[in-house]
Amino acid sequence: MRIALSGNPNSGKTTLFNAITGKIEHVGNWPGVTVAKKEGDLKKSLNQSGKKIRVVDLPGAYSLTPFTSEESITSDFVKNEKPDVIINIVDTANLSRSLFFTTQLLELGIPVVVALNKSDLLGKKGIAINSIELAEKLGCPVVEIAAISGKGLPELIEKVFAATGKGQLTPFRGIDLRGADRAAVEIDTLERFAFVDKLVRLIEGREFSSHKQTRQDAADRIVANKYLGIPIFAAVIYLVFSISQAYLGPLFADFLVDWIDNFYEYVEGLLGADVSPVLSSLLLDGIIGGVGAVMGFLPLIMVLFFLLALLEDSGYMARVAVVMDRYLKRVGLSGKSIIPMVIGTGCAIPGVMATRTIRDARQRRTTAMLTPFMPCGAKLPVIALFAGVFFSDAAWVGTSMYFMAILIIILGALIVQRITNEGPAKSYFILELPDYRMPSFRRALITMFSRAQAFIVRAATIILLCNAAVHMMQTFTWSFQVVEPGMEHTSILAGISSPFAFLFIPLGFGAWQLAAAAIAGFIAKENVVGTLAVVYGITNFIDTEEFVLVSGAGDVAAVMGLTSVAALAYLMFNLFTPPCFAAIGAMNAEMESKKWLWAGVSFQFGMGYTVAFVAYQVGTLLTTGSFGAGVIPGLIFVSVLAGIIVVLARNSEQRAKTDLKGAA
Amino acid sequence: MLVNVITFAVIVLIIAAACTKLVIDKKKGRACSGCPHSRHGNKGFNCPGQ
Repeated sequence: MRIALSGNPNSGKTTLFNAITGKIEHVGNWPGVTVAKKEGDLKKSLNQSGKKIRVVDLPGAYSLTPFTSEESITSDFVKNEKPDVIINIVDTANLSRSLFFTTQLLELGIPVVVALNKSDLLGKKGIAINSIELAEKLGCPVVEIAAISGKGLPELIEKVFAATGKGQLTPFRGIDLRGADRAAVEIDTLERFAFVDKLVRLIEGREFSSHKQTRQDAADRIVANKYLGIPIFAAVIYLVFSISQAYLGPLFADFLVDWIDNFYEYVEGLLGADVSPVLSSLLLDGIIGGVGAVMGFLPLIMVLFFLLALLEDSGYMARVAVVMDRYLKRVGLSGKSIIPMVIGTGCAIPGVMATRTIRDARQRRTTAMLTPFMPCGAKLPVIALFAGVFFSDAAWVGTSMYFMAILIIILGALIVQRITNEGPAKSYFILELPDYRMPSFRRALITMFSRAQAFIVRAATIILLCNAAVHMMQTFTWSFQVVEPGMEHTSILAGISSPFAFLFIPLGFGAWQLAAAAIAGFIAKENVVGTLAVVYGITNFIDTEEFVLVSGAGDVAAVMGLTSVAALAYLMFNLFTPPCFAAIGAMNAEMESKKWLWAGVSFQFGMGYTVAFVAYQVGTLLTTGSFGAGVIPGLIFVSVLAGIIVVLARNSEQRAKTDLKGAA
Repeated sequence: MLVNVITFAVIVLIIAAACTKLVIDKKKGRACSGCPHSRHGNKGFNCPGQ
């Protein structure tokens, strides 16, 4: 038996799905979080039948005539896969809009049970719904629930079992839209809305005044204000980075690093002095040391994701999308592009996948190309490491990298706009702002542990394997002899990374060790930290004695041989060059164009190189009075990149003019 | 000698476990190992394992 969960975006489908299956799928207090169907089994505590009941969570849809790819997932599923029962989740605060979709579901002939979600907020909002009369008029069971607290769920499942195998009445029969022309579709839509309006007037009572300002409205006037919105967002992000990377995060990190150090010493003691130095070093420095160095940042990341989850759940991030829409629209994107970017702060892959909610193909591809610039969870250890080693105030580095990413995204969108010769976005960004609410600590904790689990699995798999490989390549020469002390430049690793290091001289980090770490970062960004730990023989980046982010920061900086400016350039290069291979794979899936994919990856390389070059050379000029090494070749390279963009933009403009003349 | 064999076996075991986990995740359609939200198949709804 299969139950489909279907309803409008942000009606609480995934919250209900998690509540009745016990799963922990990502939920967000805004529309468009779910972009693919998810499946799980009904919890045993709710399933009295003893049979296996499959529950399918579908992406939100406003109608069965889909406009976006995730809406077509819902439409295709309910029409073609014929679930046994559909639970239609209806947001009680938006009854008119929700019931439009309900009337379409009722026409399919599949039993429908309407779940009036967020019913616990009805009294607070001054809304009263006569659910008994609604059930009579619709011809299907209606149950008041609150998915967030679990209220009404046993009754809902009971009604689902009762409805199984029965037919479905149809209170409104529209025309068959297959092959119908536009006028017929419009007439059908108007008639359906008229039916729904009449129904809502009958069963709903509201106590409100349209000119009465609520506290929510007052908060929006400040938070989403044209001038105050961005400074408030900057302050919020600064606070998040301060708490996670300067205060609470290191406090917890201290315990973990202490434990890793003890484990290292324990294994070292077990091995004793008789074991081969190559094997001992591989296990201790390559595997335990490399993975341990990355793992040390886990508490910082957990605190950061906990805080970001609270922000998202409170409804604040939806306001950020509205604030950013103003700027993104001018460069050919829209506020809808912000949603993938915010999701991308967790991991670039679901962020890129979330671009499928964007209807316009060019906007979708541009957003998929630019979303990986956001600092994802894998990049955070790199930020934390460099902020701690080279800059005394860790919080401003993270915050500035966050906003730097937004600036690069805007600049990138502007460049794509010029190359594709598109004007400002023509589509309007309409987002139903969710109510502000007290964020749920439970959901934030679930998000935090889910992210922590991902981080640990990555550290124990891909990071471990890369660190072991890096260590082996550093231990042996090309003739498979063990590298002599002081002759590390003869190692396989140095041989592979030295040509790349040469290219990085204009960026201020021409050492092969740094080049090796940057290259390893393309497999997974955490590898930058792990590889630096392996090649420089550092096992603990976090102090265990004091609550200072990085131990012996001066020593670590000296070993790396970087100035603060070069370190900033190195950090920017690692953050703003292409993401990991897995994210590039996701870009490929969403862009559906090899031309766009290769252009996107080349653009990301060019952007990362240019940003790092400008940061290093300008920073060096300001701090020392002269440019850094390799300024001329770097300038030539960056000028060539800029020249390519100018030529592409001109060609595009010429083509557009020719097309216009041809059309005239 | 024995301690070298044991150490080598432990290293091989660790690496094999990491590789196995990656292969299993790949088969489940996870683009990013460990990440619960990164399963992706085709753009349509028939995502394997979802």
